[in-house]
Amino acid sequence: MTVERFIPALTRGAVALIGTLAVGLVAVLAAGLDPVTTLQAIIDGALGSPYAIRQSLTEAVPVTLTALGVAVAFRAGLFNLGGDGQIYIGALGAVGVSLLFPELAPILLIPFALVVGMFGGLVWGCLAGVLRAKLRLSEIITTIMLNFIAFWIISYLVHGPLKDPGGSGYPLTREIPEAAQLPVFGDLIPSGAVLMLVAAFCVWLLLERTPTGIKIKGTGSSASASRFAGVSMSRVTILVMAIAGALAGLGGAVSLQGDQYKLGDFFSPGWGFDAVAVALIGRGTATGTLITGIAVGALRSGIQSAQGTAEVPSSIAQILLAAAVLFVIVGNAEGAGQLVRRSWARTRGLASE
Amino acid sequence: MTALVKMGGIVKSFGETIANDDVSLEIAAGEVHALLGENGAGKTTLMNILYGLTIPDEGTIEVGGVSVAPRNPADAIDAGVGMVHQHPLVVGALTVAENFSLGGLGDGSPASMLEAVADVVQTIPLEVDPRARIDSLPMSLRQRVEIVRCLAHGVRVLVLDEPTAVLTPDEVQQLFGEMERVVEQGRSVIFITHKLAEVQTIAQRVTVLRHGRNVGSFAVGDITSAELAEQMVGRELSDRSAKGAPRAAGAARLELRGVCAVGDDGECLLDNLDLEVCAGEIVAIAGVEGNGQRPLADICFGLRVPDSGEVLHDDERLPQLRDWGRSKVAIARIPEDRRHEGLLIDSPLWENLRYGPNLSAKRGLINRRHEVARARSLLEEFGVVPPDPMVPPSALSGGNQQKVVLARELSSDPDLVVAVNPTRGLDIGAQRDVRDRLAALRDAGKAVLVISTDLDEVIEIGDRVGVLYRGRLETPIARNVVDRARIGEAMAGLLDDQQNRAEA
Repeated sequence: MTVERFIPALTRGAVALIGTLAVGLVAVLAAGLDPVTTLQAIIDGALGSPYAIRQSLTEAVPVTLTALGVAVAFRAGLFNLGGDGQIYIGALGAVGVSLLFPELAPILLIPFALVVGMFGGLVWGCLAGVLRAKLRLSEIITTIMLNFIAFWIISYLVHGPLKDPGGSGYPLTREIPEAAQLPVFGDLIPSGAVLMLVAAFCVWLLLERTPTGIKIKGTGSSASASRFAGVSMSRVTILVMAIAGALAGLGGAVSLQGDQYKLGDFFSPGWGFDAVAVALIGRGTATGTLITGIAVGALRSGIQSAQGTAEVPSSIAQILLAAAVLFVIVGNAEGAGQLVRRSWARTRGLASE
Repeated sequence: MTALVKMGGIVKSFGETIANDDVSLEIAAGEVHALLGENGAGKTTLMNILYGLTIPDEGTIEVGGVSVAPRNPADAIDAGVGMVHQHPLVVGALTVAENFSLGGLGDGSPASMLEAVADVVQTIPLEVDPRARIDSLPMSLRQRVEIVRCLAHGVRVLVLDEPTAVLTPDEVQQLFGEMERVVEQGRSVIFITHKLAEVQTIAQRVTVLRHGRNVGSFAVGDITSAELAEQMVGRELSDRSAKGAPRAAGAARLELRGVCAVGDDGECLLDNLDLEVCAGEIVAIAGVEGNGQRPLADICFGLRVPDSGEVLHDDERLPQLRDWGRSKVAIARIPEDRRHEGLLIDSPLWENLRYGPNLSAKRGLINRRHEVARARSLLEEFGVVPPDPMVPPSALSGGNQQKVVLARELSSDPDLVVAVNPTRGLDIGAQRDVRDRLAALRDAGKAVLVISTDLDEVIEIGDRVGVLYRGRLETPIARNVVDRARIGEAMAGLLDDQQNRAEA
């Protein structure tokens, strides 16, 4: 990369960072907090100890996995707003397998549950893909609707058939057996973080080193050129939504098996939508999304911990994330803005496809 | 003649494309004035400037003797200019009356609206329920709603942008009747079209635009359709047509037998078309835009299956494009619109050089270094400037973009080349390059089919020349026996009419 090309990227980064920090400062002051101690508390909470780092990574994994899927969809000109639904169905698959086959050895049960969770998400994503490809229904609408369906299915199950009878009334499933729980390496690196890295590498490989990746990016940038190249839009659409769903489903399974161990109806604190922001800030690339995802995980985890130590409200994290998205789009008409515009153009062009 | 509209020295460029190059235009009161030209000749740009949708780089506009510089359609309407686009801009989700109120007619109630349009509907009956939703109406009525809306605003000049393209023949007649009633009131109609017959039917005067320039204004009575066709597609018909008999061609590479194509509304697009393109020859098909070029090209590109008839490539049925990679079909395809069809305009060149039917057959990982090196040598071979595989086509000039398309398509070593308007929008030097390249391919024994609306080009490069008119094609004839007057007539459909008369 030449220096000339690098400078605009730096400018954009600076705009986003300064803008975000300015908004954060206003929010912190408005909450009546001292900015310096608040920042100190957040950084300590995010990175200050091995435990803090482990928590940051744990927090980062589901949102980053989902965001990687959203990024792939963005590159094909599709909005995957269905991350939450796919996460819930993924977690349902994982919890189902874990509770049905508790006798299996960990070496079998862990990957089995993960794969079933991933497959659940894949099916959920695929549904939106097929509706888009075959019936020309906007995936923006269908993925949101599928979120509701997934959420209420899970809600019904955890209030009813799957409710833990010994759970003192909470709408939660039983805890999954230890054989299904993901190990933590060296008390520092959760195995979900390793999966996240592997997934990011696979997404990078897919987008940058495979013919399919060229097709995904091609359909995202021009439907007419893709038609002329003999690339099937509907095949790519279904494939991409399947990939997005599978990654989110994996995110749900990993959070279940590596962090929460029980499925309830507030399993996801909105990772599906945070993932859209993360993928946008990461400009739809695998590396950008991975880095942003980890940063957002650390921020959330840091603020959660600062809630206890410096009484920082957790909503600050959400404000910062939203401000970051806004400033990245403002400072970057070429990248993130283009992703949104293209996807929106494809949606508006549905009728004429 | 009192000029109601005077446009002088209009210049407008979009990037490096010059859409209007010093165009002047005068429209008299009470006339239907046709604006004739191929797609991309700059007709719509010129009228968008008059209507305030596009701001010109240079030039002056006068309406009724008053100098105006419309910055938006509201300015233009105030000045007395209204415009109806091919796809009317009325809001589909609103009713007819609500659409009128959007433009500021009446106080918003259907009754007051109808009052405002009452005068207008005496000359142009609306014949629609004002409470009907626009998207429930056929295109012809949407157009009429727009026309009525413009007239109710009191415009003196009504611009109609290719209004007949979306109408049935009956509806066209009705529209022409409406146009006549409008000009009877002393207003003027500017009628954008590329159909010669319509010019002769409805217009009193005609201005021809070609490559963004005004090539002349004529009284319709003083000029024949054949002459108009020449004006429109290139009047300096070169003497290159007399460069001797073509050499003998080899085996047939592409054969179309009895090919018919039917449009969405059941209209006939291609009518029992026979065509043979042989190794070592260039077959060039002339014709005015919209006479079947698009479906013919799509069929050769594997993008459209003929409704009847056969398409043979090397004596085998031509598969659909998506199966080309698997069945090793290598046909070079130069599409009409290189920016939107030929290229991924924002993706790096090396990806563009792979983006085609062969990509679908490719498996496994891409060796990036190998691809970039391949791209660089292709770009250098085809003289693309700059030969940088990482830049996107949007950073290149039109001529270089076309070279990228050629590089990709010829890299599969095809034995057949199909090109549609391969030099449109290119500067003279780039045109030369592309035509030389096509001739070199012919000399190397490839079969070449060129479908072009540029008659100069057809006559210059075609070994055999045919004319497409209303989906029909006569067997292309050798260029040394081509009579250019006859081609002009064939393009204007006059041969056809004479034949019909003779038969009747």
